[in-house]
Amino acid sequence: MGAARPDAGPAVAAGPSPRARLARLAREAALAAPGVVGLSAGPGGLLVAADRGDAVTGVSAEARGDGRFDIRVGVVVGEPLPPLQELADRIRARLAETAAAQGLGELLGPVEIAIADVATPAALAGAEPAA
Amino acid sequence: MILLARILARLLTFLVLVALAIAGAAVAIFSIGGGSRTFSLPGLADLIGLPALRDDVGDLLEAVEAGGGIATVTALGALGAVLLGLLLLIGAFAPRRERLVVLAQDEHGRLAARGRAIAHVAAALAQRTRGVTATKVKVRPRRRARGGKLRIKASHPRTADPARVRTDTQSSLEPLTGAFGLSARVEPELGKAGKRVQ
Repeated sequence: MGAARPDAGPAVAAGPSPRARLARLAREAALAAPGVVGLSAGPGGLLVAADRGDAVTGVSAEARGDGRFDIRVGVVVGEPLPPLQELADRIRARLAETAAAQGLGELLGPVEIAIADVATPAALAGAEPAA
Repeated sequence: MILLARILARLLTFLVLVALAIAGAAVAIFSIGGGSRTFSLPGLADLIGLPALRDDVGDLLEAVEAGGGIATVTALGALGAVLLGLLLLIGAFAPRRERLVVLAQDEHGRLAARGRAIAHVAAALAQRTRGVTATKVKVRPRRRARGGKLRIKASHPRTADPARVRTDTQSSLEPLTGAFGLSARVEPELGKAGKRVQ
């Protein structure tokens, strides 16, 4: 361990990475969509965007070769079921809007919406709030 | 199948690690307890009974060479060991990500669903059909293309016409099958007594 060299390059920026910010925006966009009652990390718990000790569950953001990020969101929908295609379009539109507003629009790649589960009213009665 | 392989791989990994730990502990205790005279390869071989094992294996190999029932059992055991090894490899390296049913795909991304969610939606739609008392749904995603196959067992009372139940259930599923390239095979079956008709 030695002292930092002056030419060692720029210091690591504080705060969440663009990947984590996109994951958070995707989570917010999904939870804001009507019919979505929560997010799911899937059966193996793989759908998680981890970043510097923090984690966004139910969303993954994977870097692509072109510098953008593939986003995957696992949503749990409630009954009555929303129209699925419309739901996906709403989430993508809101995510594109908020990402652009935060200067992350260029980094946003294809967005996969995965319907992870359908929550029945009985299950919802015993569940915690989604947000 | 994959789940079984995964469980087996984890169980065997655990057992092998336990065996290694016990073997390590035995060697450590042996080396602590004995001096330079006892802690040696011959001493260790005597301790775990290698000479007796050599005699047993020698007898077995002679019996295998002679052919007959023992050779057959040994061959079957070897085949089983190969199959177990393959199963362990599958359990260790098979992808953990669940195969989803792709409902739609374009340049903006995919819309997909877990089989369980699709089954839930299909069951809800099928149970709206007049005469259907209960449903069982199985979903099989297509490997590469969009869509998949639904197999629905629709229970109905004696008073309902099975052919009518089939066509009506397929019509009820149209919002799901028509929009997302899913094919549905409906199998009407006589329901158990006590089920309510929709």
